[in-house]
Amino acid sequence: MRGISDKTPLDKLEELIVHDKRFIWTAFSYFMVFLIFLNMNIVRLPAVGVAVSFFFFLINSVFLGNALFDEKKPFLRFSFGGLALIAIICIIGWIVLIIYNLDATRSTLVLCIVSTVSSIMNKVSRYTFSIEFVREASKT
Amino acid sequence: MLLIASEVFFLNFRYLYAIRSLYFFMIGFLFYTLIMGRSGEIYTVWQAMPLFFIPAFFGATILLLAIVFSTSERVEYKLLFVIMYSILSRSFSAIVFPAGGVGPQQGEGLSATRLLFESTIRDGWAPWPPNNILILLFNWFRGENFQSVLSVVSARMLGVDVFWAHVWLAPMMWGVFVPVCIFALTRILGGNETTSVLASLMITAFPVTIVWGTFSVPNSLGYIFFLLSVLFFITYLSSRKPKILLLMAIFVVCSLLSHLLTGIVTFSLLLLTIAMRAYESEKREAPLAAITSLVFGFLLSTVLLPLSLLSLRVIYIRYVYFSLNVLVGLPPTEILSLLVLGEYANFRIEAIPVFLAGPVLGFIGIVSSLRRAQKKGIDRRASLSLLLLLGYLMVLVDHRILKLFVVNTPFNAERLLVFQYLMIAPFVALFINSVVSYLQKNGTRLFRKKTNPPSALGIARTRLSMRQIGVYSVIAIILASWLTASAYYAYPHSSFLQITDYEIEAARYIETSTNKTYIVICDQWFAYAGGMIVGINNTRAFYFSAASRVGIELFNAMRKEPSGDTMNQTLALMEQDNLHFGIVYFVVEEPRLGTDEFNRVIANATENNVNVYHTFGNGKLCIFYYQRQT
Repeated sequence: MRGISDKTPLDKLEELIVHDKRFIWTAFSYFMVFLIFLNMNIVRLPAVGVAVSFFFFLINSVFLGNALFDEKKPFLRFSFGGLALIAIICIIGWIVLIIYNLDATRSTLVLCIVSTVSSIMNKVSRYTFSIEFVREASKT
Repeated sequence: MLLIASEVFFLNFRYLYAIRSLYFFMIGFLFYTLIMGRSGEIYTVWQAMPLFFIPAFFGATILLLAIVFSTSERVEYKLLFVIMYSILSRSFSAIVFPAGGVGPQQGEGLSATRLLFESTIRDGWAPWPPNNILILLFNWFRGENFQSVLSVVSARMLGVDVFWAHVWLAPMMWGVFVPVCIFALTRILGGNETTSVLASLMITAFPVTIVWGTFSVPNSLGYIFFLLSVLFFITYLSSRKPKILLLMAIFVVCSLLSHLLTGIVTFSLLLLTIAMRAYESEKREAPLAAITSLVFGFLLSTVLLPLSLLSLRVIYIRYVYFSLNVLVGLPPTEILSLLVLGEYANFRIEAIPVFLAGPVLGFIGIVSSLRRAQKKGIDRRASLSLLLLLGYLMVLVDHRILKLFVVNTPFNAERLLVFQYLMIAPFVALFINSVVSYLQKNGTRLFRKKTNPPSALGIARTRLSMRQIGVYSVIAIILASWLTASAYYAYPHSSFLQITDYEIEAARYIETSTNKTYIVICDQWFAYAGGMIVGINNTRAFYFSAASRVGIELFNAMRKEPSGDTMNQTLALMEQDNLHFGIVYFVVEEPRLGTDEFNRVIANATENNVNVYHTFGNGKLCIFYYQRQT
C-alpha cells in the first residue's frame, strides 16, 4: 500500500472531492450546473462551456467512481465513473424527454438530478465503508 | 508476462522521453494533415489524404507499440496514448467530410436529434403520431431518443451546436471508453498490465470496430454499453456484491435503450451468465444437471434474438419471417461457404487477411486460454473464458440464422460480428503474449538472452543481441502493419458523394431567408443536409424523410417536369394531412443528377417559368421556388 507521502496531487484532489466536507464539492457541482445554464441561455461561448463541463464531469465522475468502483485503480475508477455518469445522464434525460421534452431548462434539471444522485451515492458509499470499518475494528 | 516488455532496447528513460515526444508530434501532425485535407466536395477520406499519410500513420503506430511495450512508462500514460490513437483512427470522416460520415443512418439520426434539440417535437421521437399504444411504446424505446439525449445534453453543456456534439459523439465515446473497457476486461481475464494495454490497442485491429466508431448512430452507442455489460457480467461470476448487480442493471438498461439489437444481445448474454453461474455452483455436486442447465441456457439465449425479431410482427412494425428463400438456387458449395465463413466468403481476397486475422487469433486465443486455465486448475479464469466462448458461439449461431434463414430483418446480420470482436479482442493480445512467452521459454536462439558478468554491485544484467532486436522489431512491424491496414480498410475506397458544404450552406440559406412555412422537394442527400439544419418532418420547415415514398414520388415528378402546377399540387397534397405551407422549394444538384440531366431540368424549369431562388456551389446547386398566389 502506498504511503501518504507517495500521493500525487491528483490523488490528493480525488481524496478532497470524495471527502466532500460540508458538501462543498456538491455545492460546487451545482454551481457548475448554474454556469452551464447561464452559458446555454445567455453567454453561449464554447470555451466557457468546455471549462465548466470539465469541472462538472470531474467532480461527478470522482463521486461515482468512488461510489461504484472503489476497488479499481485511480485512472480506471475515474474512467468508469465518467461512463457511469454518462449512463445516468442518459437514463434521467431519457425519462425527462419521454415525459415532455429536453429544452434548456429541463436539461439543467437533468444535470441537477445527476449531481444529486452522484453526491448521494458518494456519501452512502463512504457511510457504508465507515460502518464496515467500525464493525471490523470492533471484532478485533 | 509479456516478456517483450522487459527486453526491448529502447527502455531507457531518455529514449522513452524522445519516443513519447515524437509520438505526440506524429499524432498532432496526423490530425493537422486531416484538418488540412478537409474538403467541401469529396467522395472518400482517401481523396483528401496526401501520399505520406499512411506511412506517417504506420510510423505513429510503431512509436505507440514501443511505448506500450516499454517497462518504464506508467500504465495510465500508456492508456492515454492508446486513447489518442484510438480517437485519431476513428475521426477521419468526422474531420475530412463537411458533415461527418453521413449515410442514411447518421443523416436521419442527426435529423431526429435536431428536432429534439430545438424542442420542435414533444415526448421524444418520432414526429408522426403513433397508430396504437404498442407503437408508442416501441417509439419510446427507440435508440434515437436515448442517443439524442446524450447529443443534446452534451451540446447544451459545451455551448456548441448539436451538429458538432452529434458528429463527434461516436469517435469520442469509442475512442476514449472502448480501450479502457478492453483494458479492464483483459486484466480480469488474467492479462498483465502491458498485455492489457496491448489488448486495448488491438481492438483497433478489427476494421469493423473502427467503422462503428466513426458515425454516431444508436447502434454504435449500444455497442459501448454492451461492452460495459460484458465487463460486469464477468465480474458478477466471481462477486456477490450488490453494487455489481446495480451496475449490471444500469448498463443492461442503457444497452436496451440504445438499440434493440444491442439490448437483446446483452440480455441474451445476461441469461447465459446466470446459467454459467448456476453451472459453476452446481458442477461439483451434480455435474450432469449443471451441464444440462448450461446447455439449455445457451439454447435459450441463442434463440432469443431471432424470436424477438419475429415479435416485431405483433406491433406491425416489420414483417419478419423465417424462410429458406435465401438458400434457394445457391449451389451447395456456396451454401457451405456461407455457413462456415459467413460474411468473409464475399470479401475481396486482399482484404480477407486483415478482416479475418483478429477473429481467428481471438478464437484460437479464447480456446487456448480456456484449455490452459483448465490444465492449471484455475477455475475462475476457466469459467470466464468459457462464458466468453459461449457468448462468441451464441452470436455466431445468431449471425448464421439471421443471414440465411430470416427475411426482412430490421438490420444487417453483419452488425452481430461487432459483438464477437468486442468479446474476443482481449484474447488476441493474450494469444500474442502466450506465443512470445512460448518462444522465449522454449529457447529458440533468437530469443535467448545473453548475460553480462556481474557488475561491481553484484547485479548480473541481461542484454539483447542484434538478432534479438531484429526479431522484436519484426514483431512490432507486423503488429503496426496490421493496425495500419485495419485503418486503411475500415474507410471505404469508393463511395457516393458526401454531403457537400454548399448543400449545407443552401439548406441554411433557405432557413434563414424564409419567413413563412415552407416545404422542400429534393433528393435524399439534400434531405440529409436539410435535416441537419431543421430536422425532418418539421411542420414549419418540412423535409421528407429520405425513405418517404411521397417525398421520392414528388421529387421524381418535379424532376421529370418542373412546373408551378406540380408545386401547387404538392401544397394541396400536404393540406390533406392538415399541413399548410406558404412556399415550395425544389432543389436540384449537378453532381447528384449528372450534368446532362441537371441541364435538362434547368432548361425545362426555365421554359415553365419556375423562378430560381438562389444558386450555390458555382451553379452546381439550384433552388427553385413557388409561392401560392393569395
